Formats: sequence, C-alpha cells, structure tokens
Amino acid sequence: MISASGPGAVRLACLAISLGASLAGATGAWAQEVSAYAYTDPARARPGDLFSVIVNVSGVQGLEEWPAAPDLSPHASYRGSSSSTSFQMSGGVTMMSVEVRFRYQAIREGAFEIGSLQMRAGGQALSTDPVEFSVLAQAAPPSSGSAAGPGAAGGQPAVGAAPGGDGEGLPELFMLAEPARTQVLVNEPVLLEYRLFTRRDVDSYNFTDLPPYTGFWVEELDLAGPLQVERVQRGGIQYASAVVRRTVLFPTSTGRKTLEPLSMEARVKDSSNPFGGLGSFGSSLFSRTAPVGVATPPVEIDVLPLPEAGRPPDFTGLVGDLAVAAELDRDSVAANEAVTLTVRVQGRGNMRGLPAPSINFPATVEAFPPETSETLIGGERGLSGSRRFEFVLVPREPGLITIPAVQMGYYDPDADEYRVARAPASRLVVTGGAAGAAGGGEGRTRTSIETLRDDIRFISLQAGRFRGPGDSPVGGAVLWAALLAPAAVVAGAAGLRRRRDRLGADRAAHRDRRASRRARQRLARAHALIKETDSRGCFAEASAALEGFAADKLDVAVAGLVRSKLPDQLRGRGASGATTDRFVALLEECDRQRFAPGTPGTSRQQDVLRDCRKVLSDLERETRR
Amino acid sequence: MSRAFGLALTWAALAGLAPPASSAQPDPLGQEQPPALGQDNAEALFHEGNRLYQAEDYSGALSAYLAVQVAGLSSPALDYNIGNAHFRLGELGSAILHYERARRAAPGDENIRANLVLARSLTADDIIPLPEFWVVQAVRWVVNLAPRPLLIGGALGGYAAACVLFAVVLLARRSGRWVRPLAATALAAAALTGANLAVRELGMAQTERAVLLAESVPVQSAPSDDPALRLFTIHEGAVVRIDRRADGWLEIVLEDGQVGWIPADTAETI
Repeated sequence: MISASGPGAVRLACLAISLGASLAGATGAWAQEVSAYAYTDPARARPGDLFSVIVNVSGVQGLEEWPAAPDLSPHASYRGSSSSTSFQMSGGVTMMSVEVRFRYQAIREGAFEIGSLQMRAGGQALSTDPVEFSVLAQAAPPSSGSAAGPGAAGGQPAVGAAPGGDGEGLPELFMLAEPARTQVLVNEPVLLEYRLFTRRDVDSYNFTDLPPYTGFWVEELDLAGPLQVERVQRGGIQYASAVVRRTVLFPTSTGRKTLEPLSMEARVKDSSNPFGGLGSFGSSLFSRTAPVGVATPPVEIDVLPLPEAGRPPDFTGLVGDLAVAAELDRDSVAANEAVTLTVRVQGRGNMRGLPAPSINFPATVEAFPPETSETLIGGERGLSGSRRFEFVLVPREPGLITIPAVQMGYYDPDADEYRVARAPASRLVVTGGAAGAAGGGEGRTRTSIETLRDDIRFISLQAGRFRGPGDSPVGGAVLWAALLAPAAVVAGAAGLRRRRDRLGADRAAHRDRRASRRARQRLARAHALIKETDSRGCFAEASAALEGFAADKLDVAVAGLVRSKLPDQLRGRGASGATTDRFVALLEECDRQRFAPGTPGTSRQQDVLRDCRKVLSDLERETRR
Repeated sequence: MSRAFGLALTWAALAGLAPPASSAQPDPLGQEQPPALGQDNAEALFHEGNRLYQAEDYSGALSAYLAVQVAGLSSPALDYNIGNAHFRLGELGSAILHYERARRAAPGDENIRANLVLARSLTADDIIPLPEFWVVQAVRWVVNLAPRPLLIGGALGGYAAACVLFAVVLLARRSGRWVRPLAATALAAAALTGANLAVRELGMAQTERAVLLAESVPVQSAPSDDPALRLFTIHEGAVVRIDRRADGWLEIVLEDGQVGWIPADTAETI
C-alpha cells in the first residue's frame, strides 16, 4: 500500500502508479468496476475527539472531480484532508482505489447524518450514500485524587480521550477549564485556567477551536516561561498536568454564562515508544507521534448583578480597587493657549475597560477628548496598573478658573460596598486681555473681529465754542481780566513798597510809628521774666518800655529824657494830663520796685505790666499824628 | 528789573491772543460783510445740520454747516462735520480739506485723525512721504502735545502765580528762599505755554498747505499750460505744500519731494 498526503503528492503517486500499472498490465487484466462509498473512523466520538470521514473510490487511479468536505457544524469542526491511492493484486487482477480522508474534531454531543458526497472519476459521476454519525455525551471524568503539587486540578467535570486507552475506561489525555470561581459579580475578574492532563508523552499541541466567550471581556495572560508540570492523581491514576492557557474574564452582563469548549490537537508519542514515561511534555527525536484531539467540557458561571444601593452617580463600572490623581502642567496660562490636565488612575480590575473620567469643565474652557496611555499587568485578580488620561484644555477667557474635582466610583468586592476615588479640584489662572471678567460670557468662543467695511466716524454732536476771525482763544473779558488782575497785584505791591520806602526816610515819623510795637515787645520780655522769678528784671524791662516809648514819640534819645520835663513834653504831643500823670506814676513805681528792698509778688508785677499796656495804648491813641 | 521784563514779555505774549480792541473793522476792500450770527444761532444751525446729516440729507446738512462758516465762525467740530458731509457726498478733496483744517485747530482729536486717515487712503495717488528730520518731528510733537485748554490754563495760571509771587517779593521784608525760584519757574511755565499757544493759534512756523479739489490736475514744470511741460498728474485729495505763487499758479511740493506748478483754482489752502 502506497500512501501520500496532499493533492500534489497524489499526482506524483499517480504517475508512479500509472507506470507500475502499465507494467502490471502485461501480466494482469483490468476487471474492476468504478464505485464509491463513505464511512467514518471511528464510528462515534466524544467531544474533543478527532475522527475522519473517509471516501473510498475503487476502480480508478485518480479522481477527475474531488468531493467537497462536508459541513458537520455545529457538532464537529473541520481540521484538514488527505488522500491516498492503493493498488492490490489478487488472482492476477489488479485492484485500484483512491481514498480521500476528511479530518474533524467532535465538538458537541448529538447524532447527525453526513450527507451524500459527489465526485467524478473514470468519466462518470459518483456519489456516496449518507452516513450516520454520533457525538456521544461526555464521559464521566476521572475523579480527582490527591495532587502531587500545588495547584492541582480542581473538581470540575473532566473529559478527554486518547486513542489507545488503557482498557480501564479512563482517558489518557484530557483537558479541563478551571475558573477560579463560578459565581461572580458583573465586571468582577475571574481567572480561568485550561489544564491538560496526560498519561502519554505530549510532543506538541495547538488550540484548534477557541470558545467565543460570549458575555465576557477577555484578557489573555502570559504563561511566563515553560509549562509547569505537576503530578496529580485522578481516579486513582497519576497524570502529568500543566496549565496550557490562562485568561482573565470580566463578565459584561448578568445571568448564567456558559464557557464553550476549548479544543486542542495534541501530538502524543506512540505508546510503544520505549522512551516514553508516565507522561511528559516536549518533543523528542526518537519518537513517533499521533494526533489526539481533546476539548474542555462546557463550564457554567453565574454572574450576579452589582447592588443598586449606594451606587455613586459617577460609577465607572469597575469592580476592584481604584485611586485617582489629577494634575495641571501649569498654574497659569494665557487665554487661548493650551494646558494639559493629566488624570492618573491606578488600581486593579478591568482597568482596560475603564472609561475616561467625566469632568464638567467650565464653559469658558474648551476641552478636547483625552489621550489615553496605560501600563497594565494581568494577574489572578484582574488587570492591575495605571491609566493616564491627558485632557488638552484651552481656556478662552481670562480669569480664575476652577477645574472641578475628578471623581470615579467603583465597587470594592472585598469590602462589599461602593467607593469613590477622588482627586481634588485644581485652580488655573488665565491671563490675557481685559475683555470680559472671569465667569462672564460663558460659552462664547473668542474670535477676531471681522471688519465688514471701513467708514468714517460719526459727526460731532457738540458744536463747541465758535470763534470769529479775530476771537481770542478765551473770552475777551476773561482774558483781559486774567491779564490785568495779576498786573494790578504787582502794581499795588510796587506802590506799597514805594510808600514804605518814603516813610522810612522820615526818622521821627518812623520812630513814632514803631514806638508802640517796640514798647509791646519789651513788655512781653518783662512778662517772660515774671516766670523766671526775676522781679527786678521785670520792672527794669517795664521801665525801659515806658522810657523807650516816650523817647520814640518825642524823637529823642532815651538817655536824653528829663523826667521833670517829660509830662510837659508828652502833653505837648497831645497827651491828656491824666494819662501823662499815670505814665509818670508808673515810671516811678517801676523804679521803686527795682531798687526797693524785698521781693514784690507775681500779682503785683502783673498788675504793673497791665497798667503799662493800658497807659501805652492810651498814649498811642492820644499822640497819633 | 529782569523779572519785570520777563513779566512784561509774558503779558505781551498773552495779550497778543486777546481780541483786538475793535473787532468790527470795516472790510478794507469794501466787500459785503457776512451777516452777524450769534453763538446761539450758530449752534442752532449746527444742530440743524446734524439733524439733516442723521436723516441722510447730506446736502442740507452741508448747507447748514456752511451757513455758520459763511458767518465767519469756525470750530474744529464744525470743520469736522463739514468734512463728513463732503465725504458722504463723494467730494473727497473737500472732505480732506476740512478734516485738515479741523486737525490744525484740534490736533489731538482722535476722530478727526481717523477720518482724515481714511479719506486720504481713498485718494488716487499713493504718495509716500519723505522721511522727516527727527528734530522737526520732535518739535511738532511737542507743539501739538498739550490740549488747548491746558495750554491756556498753563499760560494764564503761570502768569498769575508769577505776578503774585513777585508782589510777595516786593512787599515782604524777609521773603523765604523758595519764593524767588518759584516765581521764576512760574514765569518760565507761563512763557513756554504762552509761546506754544501762540505758535498754535497764530499758525507761526507753519508751512502753507493746500488740498487739491479738482478731480485730476496736470503738474507742470513751469507756470504754463504747455503740454510739453507736463511732469505728472495728481488727483483730488492730494495734500501739497505751497512754496510760491505766480499769476494764478501755485508752485507745489508733494510729500514725496516732487515739485511742480498747478493752477491756483484747482486747490484750496488749508
């Protein structure tokens, strides 16, 4: 029997076969009828098992028209095809046949019919009879035994099959989907691990059918390095086990969710391999391998709704943990220039699905959609790390702007309550033109003024003062008054000065004018001496005041005054007799007080000074020229 | 003595601004004098002109304004409004002429300046002025700096203060040290502001300028109509400096320095 894989190989084989057949023709005869039939291998399968639909066409070396692969969905998924041609000599007669093999992997339990397959061979159209096929229910899994290492498989229903079972009904290879929990909240992370159990050496594997994960947000996790193989007991039999795929699921809606099977095709080493052990993972140069299909059984997860009570208005939907910080890159910015508000959110949960914070910016601030960047690491508790939202803000009007606090609500499953992560409000000073006070003109966008046309300015509504040809800048009368009044002041001052100078030239008149003032000055000095308790000095000054006054009035030197002639001389200047007598009496009183023994009292000194002022005043009045 | 001389000089300068003793002199040419128009009547005509202007009757407004002007009265506002009326009537040259007259009387008025700039920008000739010596620019700037009321107040106030302080010096036997310098300062201030006012009011040191009123005027190299002497053509609204006059001709200098002759009846002095 000669077999080859693929259409190209088939053509090469046909050439060789034709040559052989022509040689054989010399010794044998062609006596075979062309016919076709189909069958499956094996007759039944369980979910995850590989099986083939085989079409056998006898009496020909090749096909003129190949049959199409039948569609067996949803019970099985197509995995590929191959063909072979065989020759057989029996009793001098050469028998030829072409076999086409379609490979499938069983997915879902059920019985179905594989329809008739059409082809052309030997110049005729051929068809096969329909074939019945069944995908059996999942076999009872081996019960879990004691694990040989940490992280042993959980107690989920397990199924699997491998050709060449050990005859005890237990599969040699199977795979389980192991969620960390089967009852979770919406958007709460669930770690889902796919664990492979084997008693055969697995050379390689690849996933052939990924489940749709309907109702979940899926984050793939890296396995980080080579597979960690553990020894576990299932049904009293030891298996080698390793996690081959790890994901974190975030349920997006409530209800019971079914995780559809994950299918894998593993290449396992031949059981007759003397180098094979209990089970291992990895390739070997000295082994033959065979494909084995496995699929996980469906897993159901109950998704519960989040509580309604206490849900904050700015709830982001995140279930996990959250912290928010917000920062402006500047405290002050000119109007119409950009400033960046960076909101940094740190936490765990479905961080990739976390929406940008909703911030009610002031109406005078134009905010652009944020740019998002993230640094996230997957783990058993979901995605942890940080996301940055950078809002570019353009304040349009000057003033003091408050960027409101950033609030993001989340549900803390550990504390079983809603919480709000909060970043404080920021203040921004917007400088610029004085147009519009802060807070005014909300919602306006400032633009430059578009000039529609140039025009002259409006007429003057105030006539102002009309001027004639000879009018002065100010009213004539006003100007003349303004000019003449200061000149008159200067002229008056000059006249007064002149008179003063003329009067100053008459010595007697000058002394007469100054007599009273000089006498008052001396009396003031005498009064000051009272306070110094110098009574003799006081009376001496009073006496000098009186004598000086008389000398000035009479235009003689003080030394030239003769007391005996003084009354007559004063009367000669117009003084009355009584005043003259009082004057002389005061002079004598001053002299007496100056030279008399004992000290006069203050009151006496004041009385004398008062009398002096009075008599001088009277004399001034009576002797005025 | 020097103080007295200074005061007398200032007095003389200010007195020069005063109206003549008899402003009702008969016209030496025996021409008919314009009808006397009181301040109130002039204002009434002015406001009537404004009313007509706002009613878009620009011809009527111009007639009202000119009636005031014909009566021998003038004011910056009147010239400004006449300029606006001419502008609305499309008489660009006349508009510029009256804006220039208004600006000469009120050099700091922003509305006059703006309308003059706009009107001159609409003229046909794009004349680029020659750069002016900075000293001339500075002097012109200083002369036109202070508003008229401030100059009048400064001159009269300085004069009055100087007189009072001078009287104090005469009468006081012991006047303080500050009186004499203060009196000198007041005198200097009065003299400066008075001189500035006199230059402004009397048009001293100002060149004679004119505005072209004809739509298009050929500029000749000599006072002659000979087409062979034609240098270039200027258009309505061009502002020129008048250097000489000869037999109905004006020798003009454009702001870019070009010189030529035009008929005197095509331009009107500012």
